[in-house]
Amino acid sequence: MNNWLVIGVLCVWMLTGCSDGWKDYYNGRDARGVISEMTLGDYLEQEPDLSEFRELLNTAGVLEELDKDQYLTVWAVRNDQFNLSAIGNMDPAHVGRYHINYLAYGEGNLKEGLRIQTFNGTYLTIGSSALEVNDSRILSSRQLKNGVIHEIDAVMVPLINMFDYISLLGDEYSMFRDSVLAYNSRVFDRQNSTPIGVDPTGNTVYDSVFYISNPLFQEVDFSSEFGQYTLFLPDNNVVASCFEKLEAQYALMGQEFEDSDAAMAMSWIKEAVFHEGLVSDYAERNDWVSPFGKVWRSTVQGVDKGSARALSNGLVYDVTEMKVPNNVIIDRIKSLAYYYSFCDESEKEMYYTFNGCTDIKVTQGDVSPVAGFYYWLLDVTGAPDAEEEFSVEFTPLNYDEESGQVSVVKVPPGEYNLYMGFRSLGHPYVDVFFSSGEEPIAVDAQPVASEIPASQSTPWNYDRVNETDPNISRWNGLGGLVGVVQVEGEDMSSFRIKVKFNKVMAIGSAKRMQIYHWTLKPTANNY
Amino acid sequence: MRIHSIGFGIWVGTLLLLSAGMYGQNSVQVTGVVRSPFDGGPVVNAVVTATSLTTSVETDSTGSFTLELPAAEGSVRAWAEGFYPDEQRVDGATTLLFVLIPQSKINYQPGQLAKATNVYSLKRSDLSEGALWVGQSIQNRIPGLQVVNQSGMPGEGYTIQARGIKSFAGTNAPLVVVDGMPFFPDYSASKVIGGYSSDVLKLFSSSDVKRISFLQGAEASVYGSLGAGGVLLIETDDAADLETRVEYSARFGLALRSKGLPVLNRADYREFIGRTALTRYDDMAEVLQEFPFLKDDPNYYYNFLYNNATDWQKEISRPASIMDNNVRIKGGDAIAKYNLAFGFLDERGVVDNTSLTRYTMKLNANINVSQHLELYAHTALAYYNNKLQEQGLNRETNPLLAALFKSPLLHPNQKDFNNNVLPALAPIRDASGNISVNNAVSNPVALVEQSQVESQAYDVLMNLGLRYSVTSDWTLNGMLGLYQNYNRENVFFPGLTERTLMPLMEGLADNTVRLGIGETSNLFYRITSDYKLRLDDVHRLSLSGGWQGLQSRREYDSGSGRNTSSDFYRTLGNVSSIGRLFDGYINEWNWMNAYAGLTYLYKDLATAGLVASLDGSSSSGPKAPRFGFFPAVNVAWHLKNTSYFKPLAWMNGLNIRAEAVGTGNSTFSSSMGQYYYNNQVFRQLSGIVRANIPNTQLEWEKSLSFNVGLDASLFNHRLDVSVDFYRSRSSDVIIGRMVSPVFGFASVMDNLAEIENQGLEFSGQYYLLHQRDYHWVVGAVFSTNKNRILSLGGEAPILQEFADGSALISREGGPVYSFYGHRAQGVYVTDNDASSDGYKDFAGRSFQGGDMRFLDVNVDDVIDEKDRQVIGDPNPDFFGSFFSSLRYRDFELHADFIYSYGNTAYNAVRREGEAMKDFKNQLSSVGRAWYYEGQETDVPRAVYGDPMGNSRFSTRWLEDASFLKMRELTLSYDFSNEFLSFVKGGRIYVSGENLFVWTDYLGADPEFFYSYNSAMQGFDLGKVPHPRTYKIGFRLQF
Repeated sequence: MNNWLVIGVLCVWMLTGCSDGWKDYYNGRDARGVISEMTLGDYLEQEPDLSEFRELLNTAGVLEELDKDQYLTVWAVRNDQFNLSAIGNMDPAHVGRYHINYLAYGEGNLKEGLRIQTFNGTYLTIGSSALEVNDSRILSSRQLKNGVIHEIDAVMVPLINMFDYISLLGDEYSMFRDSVLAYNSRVFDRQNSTPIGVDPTGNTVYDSVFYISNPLFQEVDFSSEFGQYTLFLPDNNVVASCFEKLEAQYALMGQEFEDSDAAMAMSWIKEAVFHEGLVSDYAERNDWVSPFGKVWRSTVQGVDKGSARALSNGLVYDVTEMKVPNNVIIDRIKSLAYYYSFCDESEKEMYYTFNGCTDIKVTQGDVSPVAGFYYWLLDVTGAPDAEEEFSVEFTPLNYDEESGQVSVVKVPPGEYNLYMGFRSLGHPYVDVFFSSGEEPIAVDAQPVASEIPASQSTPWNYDRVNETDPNISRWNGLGGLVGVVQVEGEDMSSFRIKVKFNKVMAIGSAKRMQIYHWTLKPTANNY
Repeated sequence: MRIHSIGFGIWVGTLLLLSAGMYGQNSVQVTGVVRSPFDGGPVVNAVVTATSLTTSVETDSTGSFTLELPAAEGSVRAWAEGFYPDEQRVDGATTLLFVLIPQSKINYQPGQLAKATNVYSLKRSDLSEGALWVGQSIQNRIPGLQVVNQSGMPGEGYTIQARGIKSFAGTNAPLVVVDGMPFFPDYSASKVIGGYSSDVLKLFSSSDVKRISFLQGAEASVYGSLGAGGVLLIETDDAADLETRVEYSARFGLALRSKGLPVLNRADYREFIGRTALTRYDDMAEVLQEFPFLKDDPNYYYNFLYNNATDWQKEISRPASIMDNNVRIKGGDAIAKYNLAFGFLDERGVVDNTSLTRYTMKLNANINVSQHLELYAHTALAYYNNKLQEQGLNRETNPLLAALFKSPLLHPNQKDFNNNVLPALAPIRDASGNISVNNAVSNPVALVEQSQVESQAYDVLMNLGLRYSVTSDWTLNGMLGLYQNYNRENVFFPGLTERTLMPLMEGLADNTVRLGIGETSNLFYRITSDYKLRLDDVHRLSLSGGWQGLQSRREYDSGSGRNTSSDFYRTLGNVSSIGRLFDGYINEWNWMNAYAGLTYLYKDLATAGLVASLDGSSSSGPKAPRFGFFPAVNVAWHLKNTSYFKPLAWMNGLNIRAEAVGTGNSTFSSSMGQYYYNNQVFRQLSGIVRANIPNTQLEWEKSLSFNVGLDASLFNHRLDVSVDFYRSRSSDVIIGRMVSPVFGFASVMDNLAEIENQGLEFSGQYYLLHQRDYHWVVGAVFSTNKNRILSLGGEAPILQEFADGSALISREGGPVYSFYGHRAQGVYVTDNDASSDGYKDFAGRSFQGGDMRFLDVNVDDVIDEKDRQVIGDPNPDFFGSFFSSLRYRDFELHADFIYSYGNTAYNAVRREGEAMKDFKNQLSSVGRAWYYEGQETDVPRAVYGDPMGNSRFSTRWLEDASFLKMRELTLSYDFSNEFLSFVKGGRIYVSGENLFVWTDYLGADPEFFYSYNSAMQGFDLGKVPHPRTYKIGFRLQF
């Protein structure tokens, strides 16, 4: 009988002995923080302290999302801390949708700087301690069946994205707004477009989705929530006054302020007003360099420091005064020495001073890279054995071909690079002097550069080097660099240049200077 | 085989002595009783004869008999219908007790009571009814023989290892000898079908087998340097008697897939994706774009793609039918006897579209050419057609892995936007041909339906022999055998037109073609002489000697290519010229051996034997000694026949045995001792490059083993016990010896290592009930093996590293092939926990809360590969089987269990399924992955790409794969009454296989073996788990 007992025990053991370890291992879900079988919707419904928040979600029309088959994160505020006053005249529905997002972000997922897209499309940001979200503090977290609910201590005000902010700017900002948005182009988003049928030719018809593409985004994607940018925002008045100043400046330089100049200035404005990162202390830096390489000089550009407004992806300040830097509007200022020949005698007297010259004339130089064009030179000769100074000093002039008149060149004050060109063949070594204003250059003035070896077929040979015409090689360039010069004063000013013979190139060479041109190019310091 | 010749010798001797008719004047009266083991009851009408008499007597109703013998010497033999005969020496006794063993006895070991060497055999009736394959029928049933079913894929075989791992370069499998002929199949894993190793014994149906014996003692040393792993003798059914008999046997079955691994369901998968994606993408908007199903938006146009809850494991499997039919005709006359069998087998696999179809023909014939000359022949032909799927860690093509990892949200078929299911299978690419992140797993259903993984093969095995009886005691035997196998393997994975499968070769192969052709041939010849010498009644001697040789050749050629112009073109000729590869090997291996043996039997009291063989093989180096000498000596003391034990009625047999056996192992490649070359492809050209530094002094590996054993049969043969203890030392084991890199190779193979194996083997059975009409018997086989490397000859530990970072190490003092990796110590509960350890990874990144804590072995605060250590041993502490058989009249209920204990397995599938490094589906256990500070769990956090290596090879993936499995449960009914006027008898049975498994192993099945390579023991690399099978079968005799 014992045998049957053994069989019985064996059978019971066999049937009950199926491995529980397997099931425990694969199906075991250990106790998580606070896990509940309730959905987010159930939880909000049964939690009286969250009733006002729930009502906000109801207003936003997202209550039903809480019971759907998806994981969500809800940022809830208890009734005693629920206060919508901070949202101003914002649509409460918009605010409500800001307190809920897809995917369950548990505490472990909340890392510093994490940005989460909410239902209203804008993003919220996790603060440095990971217990902060935007300006609110996370008080507690609860894991529910279909997501996480974080209780926070205050209603979060949805921040607007910089792109949207610019798009929504009023007409008082129309100049800036429209010029930025003018770049926008709509691109068909095939991946997110839904095919809804086929047209008679067999092509798929989509319920099309487009997105905005803007070339500015390549450097500053202020439509993205994943950059942080600062915008110095000029309104129309600021832009207009900036342009007025520009026009005046152009007039003094003897130039017309043309459309292309306006476009150039506007283009600079668009690229200079965006800055990467958040500018919290405007005066902290002298120069804020934009991602486009444009310098926004805090000592020149006026910004209302108290006007900072937070955006979801950055900050915006109002601009009170704006200047387009000299080195942006002035590419180069250039004229030729032989305009001497267009002067009448009194003008020659007034603008030109010759020392030790035995012969003063304007002669034709060499053939240029452009057919039919000859270089014209101010050609002076000195006495071969004279010990006295042999030099030419002049106030640079403009020449108006139509009127046949010359006028004095005036330039904005600031720092420039001075370039010059000579007929280099057999040219002596020269010293070059510079002074701003109309007064003659002092006798004891220091040269900008001395012993310039203009003969060496080097940059000083006419204007054949440095920023030459991109279409014609060795044509209409800056010439050879002489050195950095400073135009003093507050207003537009004239200046004088002196070219002084230093030594001949080789013993026996003629003591003859053939001056072609000069060029001023603003340096980076010439703002 | 030799056992039988001993038995045969006793028979012949008895007859001779009878005919000698030695009558004495002073007769002695010997009385006795013949009992059955059926509770000791008498055997009535048993025939009792004495060697000194010409007549016999029969027992009376009390089982008693009386013999008048001329002297109290010689032997008396008792026999009765339904029993095996028994013979006892008189040796002055006047009363004799015979307890006859019934022919119905389970696991009867012929000659057990005079067993002189370690032999264990199973006869046809002891093999399980439902077993289709030879391996299956002997699984863990022979002491010392570990037989592991590689997988549930039809056509895959059984890895057989005997007494531990002894060799790195050679085989650890026993030598298989079929009908006297050593059988050298190709044990290599397929080079074109991932994870597949063909069953080398599938030529034989278990119903063709007459007897399977396993020799580990002195008899194995006849085979010299082939016998280190023991010898598995398979004898096939021959023509036993002259009556013409027709037998039809058939089995029909249904295989059901075993439980699949639990994967994340729809909801949990989405939660997992939501979490993991947050570690991959900075912007959640991007997450929602890649994984639109994370939003529950009923208006989303593509919802129809993701609104499914597919159980992929179910989709790729199906209940599979099994059918096996055999017709056998036996018969003949006094001149010629034959046994002709035809078989047809169709076994389908539980993975859809996998099957093995086998056609077999077998003819065994014996022809008495003259009184002295007998001609015998065995012929077996088989043709196989095997439809397969890839296994192993082939993530793109193993349907099991694809089914685990495929998103449950997707549907196997294409659907239209109205959610109608279309017949075409769902592609993994979008309209522009891109694979979307959320669908980067092959469609498992497409794998089973559209891929082509096939093998067609045939086997021819034949041997022909002459047996010449010079005298009644002296026979000469000559045999010539031939084995030929041809195997063609064909693989095609579509993907170009169908777009349902992941590209292979790191994304370069949109479709893939592979072809492999293997050919194996063996030629065997042998001449033997056996002589029996009976000096007098006390001393008996048998002498044997022989000369044998084997030539074997294995060749395999394979080619592969990719990107045919369309999925309709599936041959190598259509592949693009970029990416063509070819591969293969040629192994020629020859062996020759001469042996001599001597057995001396003293009065049935003691046996002593001596066998020596001299052999040489082509695998030894050309400058090494050509011939090895392998001696063996054995002694046995048959205690039952001593005067002390003889009177003990409860004691039916007792032997103690001891033997010392020297064998060898030369079954390693012939190419180590000489130069060999590999092909190398450069652009469109190919050439050959030298592949090794030959060791011209290379010798065979030697093995010296000692074995002591005890066999006992007690209580009327109700209890049979056999115990063996062995210790073997393998020396000159071949490993790589480090050489200067100047040679261009890191190592040269040399005879350097020493390995010790020792263990205990037990087999026993006990008849709890034993009556003529009913019995209940339980039995068990138990084997242990402890394996230790004694020396590596001064070489550094052997480290084998695999592509997935797993590694095996073999070092002195430890077992061969230990797992080598990191020790995982749980998951950091908080960031503070992690920072208090301060560990960093190799790149200087700090571990955080939720990462795994690994043991810093070298205490340098950096967790890198220097912190690996031995972490597990894939060898079982013990293994075996047990059974219970309950019979009542013609009904029998038989249950068979197998077990393995203490073996550690590397669960690579679980590693893949818990790595959480991408967006594939994972096992349901990742539901408790670390998620928040303070969470105590055993699964680390989910981070895309697993940057901290939390899933690196560590103890996390090593598991105790001990198991106990109900291998078979059979209920059978034997009938001997005639019905339908032409059926004379037979058996009907139902059986179930793999019905229960008890294990803590977390894989699909604790029983697996990746290939025939011992090193791969313990690697669970995604093989098809064994199905649960139900069969109904019958055997009819006409």
